[in-house]
Amino acid sequence: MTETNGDELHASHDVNGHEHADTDEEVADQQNDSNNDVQEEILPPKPKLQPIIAPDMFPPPIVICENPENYPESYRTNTKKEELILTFIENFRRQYHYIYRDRKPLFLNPLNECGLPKFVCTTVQPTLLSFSKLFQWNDAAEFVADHLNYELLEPPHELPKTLWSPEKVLYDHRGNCFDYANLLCSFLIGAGYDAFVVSGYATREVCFMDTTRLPNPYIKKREEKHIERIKPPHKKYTVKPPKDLTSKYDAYMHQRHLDKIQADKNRRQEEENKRIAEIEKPLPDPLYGIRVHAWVLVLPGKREVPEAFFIEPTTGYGKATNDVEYLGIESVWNHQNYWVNMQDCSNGCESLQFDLNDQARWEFMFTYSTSLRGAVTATLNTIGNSAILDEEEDKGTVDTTQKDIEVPPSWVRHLDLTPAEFQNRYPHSRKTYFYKKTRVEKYAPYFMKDGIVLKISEFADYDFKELIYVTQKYEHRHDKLEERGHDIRTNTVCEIYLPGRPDQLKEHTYGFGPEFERTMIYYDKARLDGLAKRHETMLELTDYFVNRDDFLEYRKALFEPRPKKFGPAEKDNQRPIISITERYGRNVELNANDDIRELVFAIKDDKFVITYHRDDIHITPSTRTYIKPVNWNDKTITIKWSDDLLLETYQADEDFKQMSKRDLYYKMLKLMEQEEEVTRRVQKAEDEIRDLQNRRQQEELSNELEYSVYDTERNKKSREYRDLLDKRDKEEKRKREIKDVDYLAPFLAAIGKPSRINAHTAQTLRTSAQHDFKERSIRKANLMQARYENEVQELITKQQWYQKHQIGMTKEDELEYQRVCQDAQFRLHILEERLDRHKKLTAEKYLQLESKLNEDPRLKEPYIIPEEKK
Amino acid sequence: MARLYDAIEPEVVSMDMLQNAVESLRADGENQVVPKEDKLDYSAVNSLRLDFRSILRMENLWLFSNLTKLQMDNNIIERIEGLDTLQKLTWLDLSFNNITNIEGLDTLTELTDLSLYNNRITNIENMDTLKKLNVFSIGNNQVDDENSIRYLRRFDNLRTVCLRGNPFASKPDYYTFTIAHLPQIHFLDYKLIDEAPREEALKKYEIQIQQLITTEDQDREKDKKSDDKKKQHQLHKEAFVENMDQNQLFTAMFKDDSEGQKLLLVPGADELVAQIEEKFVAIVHTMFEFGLKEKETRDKEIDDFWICVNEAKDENTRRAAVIVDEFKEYRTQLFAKEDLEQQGVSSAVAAEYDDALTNLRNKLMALEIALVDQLEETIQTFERNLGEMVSNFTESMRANFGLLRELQAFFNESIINLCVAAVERYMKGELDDEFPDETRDLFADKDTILNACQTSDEIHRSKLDQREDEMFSRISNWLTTMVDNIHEDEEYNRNRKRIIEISRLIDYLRADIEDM
Repeated sequence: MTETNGDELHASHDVNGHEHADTDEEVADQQNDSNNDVQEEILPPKPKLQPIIAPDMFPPPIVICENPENYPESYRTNTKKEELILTFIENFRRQYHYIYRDRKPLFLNPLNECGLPKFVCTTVQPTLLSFSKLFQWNDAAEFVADHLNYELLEPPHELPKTLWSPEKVLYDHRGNCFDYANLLCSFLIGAGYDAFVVSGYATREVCFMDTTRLPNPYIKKREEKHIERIKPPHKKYTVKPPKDLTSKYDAYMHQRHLDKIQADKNRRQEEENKRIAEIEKPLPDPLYGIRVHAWVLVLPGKREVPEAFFIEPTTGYGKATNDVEYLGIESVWNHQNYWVNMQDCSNGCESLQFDLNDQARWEFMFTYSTSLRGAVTATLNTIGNSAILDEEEDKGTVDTTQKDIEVPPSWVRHLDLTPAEFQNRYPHSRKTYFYKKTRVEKYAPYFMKDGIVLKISEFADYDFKELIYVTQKYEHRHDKLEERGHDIRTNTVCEIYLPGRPDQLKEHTYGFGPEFERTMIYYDKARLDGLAKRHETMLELTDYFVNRDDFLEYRKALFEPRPKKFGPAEKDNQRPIISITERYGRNVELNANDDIRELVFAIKDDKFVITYHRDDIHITPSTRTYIKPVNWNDKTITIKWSDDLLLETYQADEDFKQMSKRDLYYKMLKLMEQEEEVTRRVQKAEDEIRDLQNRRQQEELSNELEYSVYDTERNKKSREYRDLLDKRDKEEKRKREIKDVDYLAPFLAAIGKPSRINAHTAQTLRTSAQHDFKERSIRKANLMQARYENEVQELITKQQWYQKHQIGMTKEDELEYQRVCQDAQFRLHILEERLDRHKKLTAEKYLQLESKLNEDPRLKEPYIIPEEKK
Repeated sequence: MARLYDAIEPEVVSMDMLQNAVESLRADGENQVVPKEDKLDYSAVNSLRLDFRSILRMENLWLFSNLTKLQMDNNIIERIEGLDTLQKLTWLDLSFNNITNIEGLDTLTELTDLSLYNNRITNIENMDTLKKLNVFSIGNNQVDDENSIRYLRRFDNLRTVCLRGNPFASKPDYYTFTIAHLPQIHFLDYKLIDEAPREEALKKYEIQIQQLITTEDQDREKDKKSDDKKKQHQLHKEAFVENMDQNQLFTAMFKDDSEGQKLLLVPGADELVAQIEEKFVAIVHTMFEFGLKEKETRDKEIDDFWICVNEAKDENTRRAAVIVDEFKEYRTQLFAKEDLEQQGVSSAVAAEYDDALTNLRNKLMALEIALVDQLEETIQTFERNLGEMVSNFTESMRANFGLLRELQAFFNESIINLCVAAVERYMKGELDDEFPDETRDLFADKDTILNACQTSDEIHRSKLDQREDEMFSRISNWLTTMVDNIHEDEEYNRNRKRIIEISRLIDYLRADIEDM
């Protein structure tokens, strides 16, 4: 932590003279103080903490570089420009150290992986990778946090001696906070953010990447819908509310009682909160305030960033600039410049200003900003002249200064990631995080066999022993399982599926044990029957529907408890049904009194109870109860109507139409039919549930993963298809090449491929080509003819042989002979046809050749044979 | 097929015939399983078949108000009648009868299928209201008229027409003419019309059809205009200011006033009349505007009232329904505990149920009484406000009528002056040529002219009085009727219905335990 006032530094070497009255004295005071003036604001220094010694007193640490030849040139050597800049930096450092003796050294030129000092600004390599995911800062930060394994600084209060190139960090999957910040900064600048690496101080928790005190970031946000009932505007004729006759005193007393309970509750809650806070409070840290850390600062202006913020690279979280975890800033840099903080950090980063152009607060190394050139040049000159350009006077021209101190291009090679590496994301394709009472395991897609990508285990205690809830997220599963939540305490599982399952399941909640209860939510729009939800308990099965043409809302079946049996439970038999209730919505096309609201099939009681919809003007719905005739099950008897069958009717209004006996009779017949249908439906629903259980078990066992057809890396079929296409393409190409064979080539070759020919030679060529074609055709024809004759001869021989031996032949031999004959005849037929075709085509082909020869430019004036293109 | 009825005794549509017709539609053997109803329920019948009888007159059908399908083919009917109440009819078969004119179908707006096959009809007419007509069979009739075909153009939903067997159908260009003039039909004489012949036909009659369309459009336009006008008039009437938007009142004053018209021939009367008319019309117009505005305020007030009343009623009904539902739930639970079949309801439970029932009744009644009080108060407020509005309206109108009367008085005075001057000049013989003969008598002497003026004035005044009286009596009538209706429906009828419903419910629920 620095306690230096920024103004002092600024004023002390500001030759242009923005003088502050008392600065010189103060500087003098401070210089009089010795180096080991330990900062008072931080915790009392422990004896083991030695005053910080400037790093140049150390011998250069050795970086072990096993195969330096594996690294490119720029990694192993410094260019002249880099040498120059290093000298310049050394100068800067010395001046800085001279002026601010009590400040810690700056992180300027650590060693790279080849043991070479490199300026930190040149280690930042702005890169935009070809993954759209890395375009947003939060995604990029998360990627960096996921991609690397964290290494602590050793010792924690000193700057590291080395800084690896982001390339090596990316491939090695490991790094310390500086490596993290450097890599992330490279990505962010590449994506267009105004990002900087920050070197400073942070709390132990941040430095150790200790997230166990942070709340779990994956907690489901349960949105509580707060519907505020809008009070209708008071209209002129709104009726007055009826008189309120309740005692106000009672209400008051009741309210007082409630208030008391609430207050009690609040107090207890507060105590509990306090207790928890006490537990969670971290232990005091002896190194508080001097733990070195590096993170990323993003300034507003670019990419619509409204205000400056930090990104913690080790976790990937965005933080406010006044976050209490960050205790101070020494310097910030990007790929272009380096700024030293001149502001007081005695109360953390809270009051820091991030206007890097403000010289009073930020001391910079190079000038780029044209608007501030005048002032900046002066600063540079002071430093630059004294060190590098000794021979020059104070007023060195701007041009020479600028030329000399230009930051060289980054020595790091361009960062690159293959899609596979990007997808693997985590070191060894997996990573584990710990949060408060939560363990989070992340996996790369396709890495685990069951397709799991995220597993969140929530615990009841801080030591990760008592598991409460496990959430697992999956990807690319064949059964479309997306998420599974397992509540350990109640032993229930909730699974969420993506659309696309054959049964259109969306959510499935079930428990284990005999008292089973399961809820299935479906993608109702995809289902023909509009089933939205199915709920099953021991004695009930309810199906909820939406958007049905018959306005059915739900169907609920009540079962008799299964008689308790010992031994294995028989799953096959259906549970006996007590009753089935169907509830319908209002069909506005019907009268309310004719529109059925609820239909109860009391199967056990042999009754039907119909409740109709209620009118707006009535307070009671009409009901009608039927009793099933005694012999309803006997199909042979026609059921007769008797008045006993209608048990009772209640009509809300006497004006409502009475149903005639005939209508009632048919209604009852229909109800009986309906009952059968409904019972079947319920049984089907039960079967579906059992089916689902079985299917889920099978799916769990097979756990296949799906590969996109575009993913030729993984999808075998797709790759085969792709290969096939490639192959076909190649073949096609080859064929085309063959087709374009030059018919003159052999003859030209025979006369030694001349570049020019005369008319006579052309004539010769023409005739010889024609001649050749004729000969070839005849030869071909002859060949076919010969074959044909051969075949005929063979056939005749065979036949003769058959004639001779016909008498003593077995049936098999005869069959064999017939087969041979058929084959021979088939071949003869083919040959005949080929010959025919050949004869026909030859004439045509000859004509074609002739016309081609006539049009061939090589056989015309001026008889130039072009060079063959290879 | 048409039979002469002197050969057969005509039948009368009787109760027995109807009963048989209704029952013959039922499934076989049904009578064995369902006992016959004592009485024929006319409104439950939606299909009736009265064919192959000797029915002469279509009668006694008016009770079948829900009938959708009526078959009366193969009778000896001569007139279509008695169908006015069968408004739900969609299917009417009157084929093979002796009908000569199409008539009596005006109320059957739902009709889609109409068969008049084999009758003696010469003209297709009187079917303007059958907008939904889809199938129309008029084959084997005496239609011989292009206009009858053109008449069918107005049925937009018509798809099937049968015309064969008519004299018109034997004409050579019958087919082309028909398909060209009826573009909406798909089937002619039960045969699908192909595209090609139709296009040809359309080309052939292009000019005529174009003209037809133009006249049809014009007619439609005219109809629309007169409709609009009617609506406008209705609106004005509801505002009680009909015929006041222009100078109708002023002209009406002079219309029945023969004396006055003669007086207007007096020199200088023209300017006077013009001047007076302008003022008069201006006043009348302000009255008119005022009336419309007042109507708007009244309508808003009434809307407001009904919205609030309905809200209150709905809320009350909802609460009552919740109470009833809760009670039913309670009842189920209560009886579920008892084993009904074994020992019936124990007396303790019965007593508890009885108490609960009384409680339910009290609750529902309390709700109802509260609602009655609320509504009564609101209705009274509404009545008062509306009464104020009406009296406001009347006052303002009365003042305006006063102005009109003053104007009339002024006019009378002026005309008297003019007349007197004219008489004097006439006496002097200056005006001989300017009067037609019959008016000359009037100006013969002063008394006559003064009398004439007075008569005219009286006529004018009475006209104004008449208009005023009409306006005021109508508005007060309107107010009383509406308020009375509200009192009747909302206070008395509604309350009565609700009370009946509650007692029905209680009785029904009480029956539960009384049975046991």
